[in-house]
Amino acid sequence: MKSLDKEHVKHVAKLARLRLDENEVSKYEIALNQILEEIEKIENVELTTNVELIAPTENHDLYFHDTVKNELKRNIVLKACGVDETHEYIEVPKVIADEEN
Amino acid sequence: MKKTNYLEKSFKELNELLKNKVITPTDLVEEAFARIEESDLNAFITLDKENALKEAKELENMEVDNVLFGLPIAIKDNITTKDLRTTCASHMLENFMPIYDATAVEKLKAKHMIIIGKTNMDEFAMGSTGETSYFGNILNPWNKKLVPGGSSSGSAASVSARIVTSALGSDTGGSIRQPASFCGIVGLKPTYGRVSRHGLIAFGSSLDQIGPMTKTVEDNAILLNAISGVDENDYTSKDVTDDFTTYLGKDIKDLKIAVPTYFMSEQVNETVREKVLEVIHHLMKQGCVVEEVNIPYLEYAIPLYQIIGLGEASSNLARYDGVKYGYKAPNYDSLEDMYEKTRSAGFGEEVKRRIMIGTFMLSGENANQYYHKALKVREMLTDGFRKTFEKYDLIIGPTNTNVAYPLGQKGDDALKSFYDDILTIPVNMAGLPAMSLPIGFTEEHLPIGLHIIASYFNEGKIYTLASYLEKYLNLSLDPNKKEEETC
Repeated sequence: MKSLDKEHVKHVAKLARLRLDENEVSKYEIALNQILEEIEKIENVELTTNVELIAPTENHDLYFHDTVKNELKRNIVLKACGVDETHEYIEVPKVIADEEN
Repeated sequence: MKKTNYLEKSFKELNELLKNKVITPTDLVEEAFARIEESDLNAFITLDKENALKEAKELENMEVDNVLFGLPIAIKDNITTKDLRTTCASHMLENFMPIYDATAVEKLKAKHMIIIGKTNMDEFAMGSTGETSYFGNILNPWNKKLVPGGSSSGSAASVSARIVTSALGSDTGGSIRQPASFCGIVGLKPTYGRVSRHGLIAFGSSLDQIGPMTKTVEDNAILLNAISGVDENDYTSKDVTDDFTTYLGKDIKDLKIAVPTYFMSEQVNETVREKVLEVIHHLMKQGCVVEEVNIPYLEYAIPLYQIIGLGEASSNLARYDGVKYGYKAPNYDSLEDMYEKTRSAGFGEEVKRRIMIGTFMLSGENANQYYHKALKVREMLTDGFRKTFEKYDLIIGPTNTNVAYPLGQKGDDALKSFYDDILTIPVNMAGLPAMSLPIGFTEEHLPIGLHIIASYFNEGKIYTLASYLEKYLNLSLDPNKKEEETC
């Protein structure tokens, strides 16, 4: 794996929705390269299987009965979201970018 | 207020006192808060004194119907508690108030355990020292200049200091066992699927497990009884029930035990290795078969964790974007601006570093080159464990390569916290159950932990060996009673 330079660090930060100042970029450049050097060790392993262990569970295609439960009361959910209990909906920040953006 | 020492006692001893009305739940809650007021360990983020006392009072009019009735417990702050702030030790969730209890918490409440508060931890369970918390460092009760281990730092410290009877922790790469070892308590990571993860705020979903942290092996078995079981809200939970207390005190002489060469290599501190060897020699004298084995791929635990664990973390923590949960940046110009400002201010340094590694590992060609390869190596490592358990009942070794070390020692070393978990991560990769059991002290009187690993859903065998060793070693494990000259 090639090492990460400052531009790579900024790109990864962008993918991770993080904003770094120049000091942080320098700091993370060192730290990330340290970690990537460690990760590189996996390249030495000769594979003897094609099986991928995604999670150590034997549960596959597990189903439970669909039953309607009134678990969450409207007023409790609204209160937890910081919204007045008389509201009909939860307000969230606008997540559609303006056209010019 | 008269000073009492009830919290030094075991579950069963306290249960007898409660049943015989020698004490009340209120006495225990009051003692817990008196101890918290005297403590400078910074083990808690949020306390729930008013509700705890109210519940204790209500219990006084009820029959003591189980061994956990009326006992104060602490909950790691990444496990949701209804109407009790749950922060993950992060600025991001500083004011997060869950509207439901984690299944494990529901089960404890059904037994009428009393939640004292939420314990301090490494931010989002990312760390091995308790130093990445937004709410400040947690201290080790055996020596306050040392780290307590992590990430379940406050849970380990509060149980060790006898502030509570017990605590829940969570373990993704060693976060129950490593602090249990550093603080001299009994900590168990159950088999993946033994305890519901519903309400455990996700870090690495294929690795995370909630587990009991206690003063004694018997308490640990009782607490695991209470929190385990299948749950409709966690499709990886398994429908297997067991009474772990029935394994306590069973004969050990027929046990076949494996010791991986890697676990006893030069990387392990000499005193720790010697203490484990003393235990091995004793077990052999008792008739146990103890043999050195080679389990392949153990040495790849850290890269596996960095690829799989951090890949899962970057995905799980993508939900903290200022829209749905927690902190939101107050001023922003666009949607992208809001995401970035929120996440940059909401997460601490270690969390950001881990998110970036995970993001990088899952991006573009890296996913094929590293992530998918890591999943295959994970299968190979797990197969090595499976084959070992065809011949042996248990695997043992040291929990950690070392004992507790000074606060601040980690510094800017990005790898240190991963290396702290070098012996515990393989267990999470394979989904096995494992315990850290105190087996002695260094010359500086710092606790040393023995790692006991079993095959899937065989926690019972761990309890058999651990209960035997606990009785045989008969250690004094209360840091409040440590002799002055050993400080």
